[in-house]
Amino acid sequence: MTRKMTRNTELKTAAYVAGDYIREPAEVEYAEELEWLRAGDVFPKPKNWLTSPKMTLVFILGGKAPNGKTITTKYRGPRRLIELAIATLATDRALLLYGVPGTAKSFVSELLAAAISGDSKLLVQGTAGTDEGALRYGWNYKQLLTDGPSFDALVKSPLYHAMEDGKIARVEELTRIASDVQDALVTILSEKTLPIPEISAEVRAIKGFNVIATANNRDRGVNELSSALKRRFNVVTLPVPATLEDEVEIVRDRVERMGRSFNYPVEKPADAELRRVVTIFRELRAGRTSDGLMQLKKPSGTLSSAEAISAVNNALANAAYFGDGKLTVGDLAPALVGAIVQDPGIDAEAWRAYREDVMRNREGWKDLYKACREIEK
Amino acid sequence: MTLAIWGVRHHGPGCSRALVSALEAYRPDMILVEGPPEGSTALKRVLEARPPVALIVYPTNEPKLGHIYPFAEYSPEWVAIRYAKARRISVKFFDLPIKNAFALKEAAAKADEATANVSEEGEDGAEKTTELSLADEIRLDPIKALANVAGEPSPERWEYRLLEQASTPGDFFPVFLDATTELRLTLRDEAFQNETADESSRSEAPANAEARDDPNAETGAVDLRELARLAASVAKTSGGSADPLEPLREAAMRREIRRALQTSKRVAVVCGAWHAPALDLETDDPRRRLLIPSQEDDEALFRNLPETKTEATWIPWTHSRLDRRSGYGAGIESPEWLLEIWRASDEARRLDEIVAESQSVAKARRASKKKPVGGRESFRLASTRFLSRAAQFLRDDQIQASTANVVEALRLAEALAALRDRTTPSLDELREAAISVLCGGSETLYATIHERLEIGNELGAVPSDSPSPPLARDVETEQRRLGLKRSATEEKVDLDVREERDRQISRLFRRLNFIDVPWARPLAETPRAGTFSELWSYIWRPEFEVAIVDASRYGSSLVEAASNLAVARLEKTTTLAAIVELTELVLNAELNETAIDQIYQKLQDGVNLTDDVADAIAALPSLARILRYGTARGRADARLGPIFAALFDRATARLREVCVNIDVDVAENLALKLAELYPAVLPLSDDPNFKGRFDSLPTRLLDAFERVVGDPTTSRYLVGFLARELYEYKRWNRDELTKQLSFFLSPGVALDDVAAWLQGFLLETAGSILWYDELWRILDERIMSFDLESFYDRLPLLRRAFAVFSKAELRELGYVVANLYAEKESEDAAPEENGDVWDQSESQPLVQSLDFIFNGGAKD
Repeated sequence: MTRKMTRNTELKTAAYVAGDYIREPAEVEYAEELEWLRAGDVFPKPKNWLTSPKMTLVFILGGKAPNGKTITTKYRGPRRLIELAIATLATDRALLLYGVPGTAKSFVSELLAAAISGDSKLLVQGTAGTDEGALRYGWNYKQLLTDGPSFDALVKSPLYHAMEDGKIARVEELTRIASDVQDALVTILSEKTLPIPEISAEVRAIKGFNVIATANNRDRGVNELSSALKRRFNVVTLPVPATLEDEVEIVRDRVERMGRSFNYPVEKPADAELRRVVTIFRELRAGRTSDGLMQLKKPSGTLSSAEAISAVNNALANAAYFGDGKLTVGDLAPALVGAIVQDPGIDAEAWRAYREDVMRNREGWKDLYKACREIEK
Repeated sequence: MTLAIWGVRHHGPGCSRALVSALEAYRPDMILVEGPPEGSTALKRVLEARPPVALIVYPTNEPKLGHIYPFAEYSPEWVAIRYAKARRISVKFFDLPIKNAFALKEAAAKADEATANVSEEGEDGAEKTTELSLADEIRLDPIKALANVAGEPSPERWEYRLLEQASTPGDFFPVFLDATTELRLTLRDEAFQNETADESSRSEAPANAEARDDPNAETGAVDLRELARLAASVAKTSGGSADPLEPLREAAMRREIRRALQTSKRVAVVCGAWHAPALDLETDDPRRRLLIPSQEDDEALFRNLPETKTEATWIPWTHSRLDRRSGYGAGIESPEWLLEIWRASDEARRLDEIVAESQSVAKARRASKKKPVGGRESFRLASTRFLSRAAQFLRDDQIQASTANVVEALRLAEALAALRDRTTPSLDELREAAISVLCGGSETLYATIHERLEIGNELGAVPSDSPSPPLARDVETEQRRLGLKRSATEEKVDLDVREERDRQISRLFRRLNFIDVPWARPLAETPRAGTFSELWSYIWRPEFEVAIVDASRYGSSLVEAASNLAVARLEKTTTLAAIVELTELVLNAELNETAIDQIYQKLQDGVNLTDDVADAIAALPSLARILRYGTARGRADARLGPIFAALFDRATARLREVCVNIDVDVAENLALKLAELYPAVLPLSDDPNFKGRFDSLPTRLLDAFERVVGDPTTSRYLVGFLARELYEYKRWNRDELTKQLSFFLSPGVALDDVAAWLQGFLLETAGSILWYDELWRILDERIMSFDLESFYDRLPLLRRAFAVFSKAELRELGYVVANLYAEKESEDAAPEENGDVWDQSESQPLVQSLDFIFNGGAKD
């Protein structure tokens, strides 16, 4: 069913050109880099992998392609985690990317699928309403009623396609799927087959098939994985960025990328401004100032880099459409407060304490402090 | 007469493996092992020890300066010693005697005191170290440095790889010897070049002249300046370190080798890889010979070398003290992992067999004929064991970890190693695989098994007749010095901590309590502010000896061990009140700076973070006591003042929060804590030591009380209680209190509220407030102003409020009230009767009505 709908959409939007899409899948956006990496790829690779584990690593973390071209850094984070993720896929264990919201889980999963299978679109979005059909197969009821169950009457799920083609399938937000539906994955992952009892047949996975699932750390309670399923996954927890520099880079990178896509008539935010925003997010997230001298109250939100990015974007849009096209502390302050104070109780208290104890006394932060104070009056 | 030099990496299991093979091939008749010769006698019954153990050598008069040499089962030195003992080969520690090293340090310290001007060698040395930081790194662990150059982050794996590549076991050590030799030759060249460059600017003549002038030269005592000069020249020849002790140590080792070569045929030397080139006396290579200073130069160093009396013994050690985080760390990340890879090796098994053979001939033939395994295989065995143990520990904690998971984890670790171009998984890969597969991606979960899995905390065992460790001696010395006997019958002592000796006794008792030797216990409660007397009882029990030996791993002196244990206890403390309690113990035990720093840090964090106002209130009085009592003991710390002030601010600013929406029981608890506040801060305000910093505290506290009382949502119970406090501490005068009383006893107030108010007002007053006539008068006047009907209405409340008093107290209260009347009446009646004793008959009705009020007896 899912597949069919994709085809329809493709038809409908065929008249549009590449630049009209809000975003492209990774294998299209980075097609050139993938080509370079695969061209000189002499390293051993598991069957049906388009890119070797080594080159996949380079694709994600950046570096040099065999032909000497520069590969951009797409994920900034511990190298060992990405190694662990790739090694997991190479051992044909399924991969579960865990992390708080905004730690690039889906992005890493997309990049991995794009590099390994050249196709990141075999995707099941997990929701409370996801049924077994979305994971296994559904039926074309017209055909089912006229001709009875047959291969032709099957509507294949993305996982089905991935098994047939030896590709990577992605399951987003695994823990949002109801537990009994999740269990449909157990056979697929352990036996690597998908039985179709209705027509006494089974689909056997071709080498290269694997599953990357993502799940939110904070959702653990929603539909916790059954231990049978958990055993089939290797879990890699993606952390929040380790250093201020890393995070500033990430925020800048994404903000610029999104700014391009929305064409804001606005100057790029100054580095110093980004550093301040990122510092605020990091300090509140960690519950201590960056010099480690003062402990802080933590707000209730995760305050991930993604939220920092959206705060900056928010401020940029404000500057572009309501300001003079230059990012000022006046644009930044409401965006910051909006992103940080989500719960009027705890968050407001934490934010006020941070503003008064930290921002007020920090050298060079007077303007931002004043702007933040201003809006609360 | 031949010599084999084996430069090893301390605690390197690969070196141990190579060593076993090398020993078997070479069959020496004398083994020299790097280590203090004082320890040689302690080697006698080494086979009875079970590692990890540590050799400790310490000056007899000052045990806390002791040097500790930890050995794990896989330490090459330990392997060599075990081998020697099993094969009955003579074995000796051949380093510079510690007695000289200690004495030299002592002399140097004295010299520093005597002459403030720092010698030029000092500056020179500093310059060199910054320049040669890489060389220093290499000096510390040449094999690790070489492994890093080769792009291998795990030195263990690199050792093993080299072992595989070496065609014969003996080839392993020469590789390192070559490398370190080249390095030292380079350093030597550099030193000589600097020498020629500096020659014009720095002439050695003045130094010599000074040396001759030095009066010490004639008295035969050591001339440090001269010694440093000689040592520097030896160091220059051998390409050694500027550290003055190193050339001496190497010279001492060469001296021992020279002696050994005269008596034994086949001498083997096991030393740190860095020292190996400077000890290779028998080399034919002329370039290498350059590194060996002449025998005369070496001997010159030992002239007039000072000595201190030292003692040596074995103490049980733990792996946790081998790991790099602890004080005596040997720089090992995971002792348990090293143990695994050592035990998985053929050589470890071979050595066990040799030892078993020596102990019983019968066992020898039983020796397993297992197929030898290669390094790669042994790593796999170790990896499997490591991951299985991880699963085991998880299961111990009721967390599911199946065998299938262990298999998957091993596969993942190997795939990871392959992705990283490594032949076999090492600790990094295993750890990551364990987190990902066994711990479901949770580093937090892994952290719960990390200690057991990677470090291990098993205590080693030493031969039963080993002399007592320095901690035990330190305790003994202190006890003897203070004239306290280890008596098995209980004794009591009354101490006045203003007296120096008494204070030290109290300190000793308290410190011992920290290391779990509850020799003495305080008889009375902890002294309140202003009290200097402490009453203790003490009784010695034999198990304390064991506890002291066990505590030895936390330090070689009592204060050090107690401090380390206090820090450990601190980490487990969460509430502010508990932290403050511990602070008091630590300060009174006068523990070391580290412990005190940490506790202040924790206190500071606790104060900044606490959300629990009740906890803060509970912590305040003790903190105030520490502040004041500490001052009286002469140990005020400037840091405590601001912490106290901050806590006080927080507690008073947020006092209202805890005073609302609580039931009577909670309110009573809180009131009991609040009752301690004023008496706690009052003495601080007029203590001249604080220079008026706390002058405003009592006022501010009463301000806070007043605010809370004025808040209509505050628990009635607390309003009553605080009203009394405000009156008692003279914030309120009689009129204001009367206003409060009338307000709360006014008609229309819910009965429960009135009862709560009265209960709060009368809380714990039986003892003291009974005598506050004034209060009773106000209460009395208020009650008297009721007409009979409203009096009956309020009667149940009064009963309830007075129900907290015991019979005896009520009786006493009766007398007070009766007196109140009598006085009043006598005052009124003074002109007529002038009687100052109350009349029984006149007060009879009063007693009856009191009985009625309290007991309801007259109601019917």
